[in-house]
Amino acid sequence: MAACARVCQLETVAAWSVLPPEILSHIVRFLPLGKNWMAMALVCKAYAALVSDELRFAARQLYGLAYQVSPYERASIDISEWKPHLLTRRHWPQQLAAATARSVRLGKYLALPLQDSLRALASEIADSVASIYASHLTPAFSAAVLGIELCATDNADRGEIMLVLAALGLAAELPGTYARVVVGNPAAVASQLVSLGVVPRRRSASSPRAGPRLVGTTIRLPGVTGKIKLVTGHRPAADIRVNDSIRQVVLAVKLVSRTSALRAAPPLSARRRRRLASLGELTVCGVHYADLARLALTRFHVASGDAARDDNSLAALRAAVKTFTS
Amino acid sequence: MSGDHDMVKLISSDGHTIEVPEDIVRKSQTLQNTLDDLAKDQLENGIPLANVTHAILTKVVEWCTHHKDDPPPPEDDDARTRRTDDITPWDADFCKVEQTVLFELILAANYLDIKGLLDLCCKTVANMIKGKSPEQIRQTFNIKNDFTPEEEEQVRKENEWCEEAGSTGK
Repeated sequence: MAACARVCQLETVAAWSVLPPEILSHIVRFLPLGKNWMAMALVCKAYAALVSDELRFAARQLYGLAYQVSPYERASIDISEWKPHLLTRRHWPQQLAAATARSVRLGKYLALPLQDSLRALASEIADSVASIYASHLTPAFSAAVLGIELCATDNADRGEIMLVLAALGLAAELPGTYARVVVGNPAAVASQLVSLGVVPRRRSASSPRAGPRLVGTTIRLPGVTGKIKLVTGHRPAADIRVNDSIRQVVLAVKLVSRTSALRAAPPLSARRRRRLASLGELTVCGVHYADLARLALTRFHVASGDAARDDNSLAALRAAVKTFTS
Repeated sequence: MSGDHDMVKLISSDGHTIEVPEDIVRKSQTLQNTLDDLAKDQLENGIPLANVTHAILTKVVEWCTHHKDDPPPPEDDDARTRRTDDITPWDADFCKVEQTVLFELILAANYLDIKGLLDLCCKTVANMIKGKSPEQIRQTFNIKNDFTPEEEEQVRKENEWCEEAGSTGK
């Protein structure tokens, strides 16, 4: 009898630990977010994985993020490869140092709320571009160029690194992109990137061929010709207000006509750029306002240490793209 | 189906057959689909339930009978924080069973797609978990800790934000 009870107990052990994930998720959802979730995550590895998954959805709901995966996104960005890697801002960059290894992947480096925000943003962009491709009413566009300018505060702190990583992540995920991050101390940021192993100083046999490289304070991204001034010490233009609590991310989507009906604006000379900048006629992306007809520009705000969310900006991007293509 | 058109034969995994009124059977979405999809003569021999034992099936029928006049349960709402303090005394008594039975009930409710019963059982388990430490949860459910100290610390760090979110009331 005792032996029978022992067997039953062993069966119970097996049963609870292998409860189907969908049912365990159902149970977790009945728990208030907080210590109970943490306790569940710490029970065993299976529960930890499940709680991590549930947290992704919880985060989206907490921060009101819409999330859709478009066919374009699946094909081009391969979002399925974005493994959720939950990093808290508190433990960044220690975990980051451990996590950074093979390639720059958005999902690996950012705290989950920011990660989801950027993913949602990327999704929006991809959808906008996809809709342009798909529409019979719009001219055919051969390329979508995404520019990212991230304006951080003066301190070369980890927040700046995070923004660099955000730019790197987006640039790596979205083909044909460029990114520029405005920081207070580019040399310090570059040094930190190297020390964290995010960007190797020199390409080695162990570093991925497709990975980014740091040359001075410039990061060279694969697949893009020429240097990309990713980290720069230039202050953002006056039209962007930067304060301690808000970091601003400016995204520009430039669409180039396949039929060359719309030509890209010629690059500005340094002299003309300086003059336009002194007149306040350049956007923070270094684009002349007169060229905005060719450029859909939007901004969204990254609250410091919190989720990036500005649905209006996403809507603005969509509207801008529509305006541009109409 | 029996001669009485309102009765449906259900055959448990251990070979027992019980006859249940059709309106009770239809509390299960799985069985409702089966009833709708199959012709009467196909139901003559009963519906085999390979994943539900007689003891558990009896409990399920008991719950469905008690709740036969309940309105259909609402779809899952988006609110992550859902109540677990709204269990009626009858339901609470119903769930005062051995853990193995509760476990089997959850699986059966999931298999038979009886949302009300599944919610009840999951709420009961959630109430057993609430306020407990990881070690206490392991003891309650006899689950082995397969973390190394380093892995445990890693999980603690990774999920820390949810504690922050929970404490700030988000």
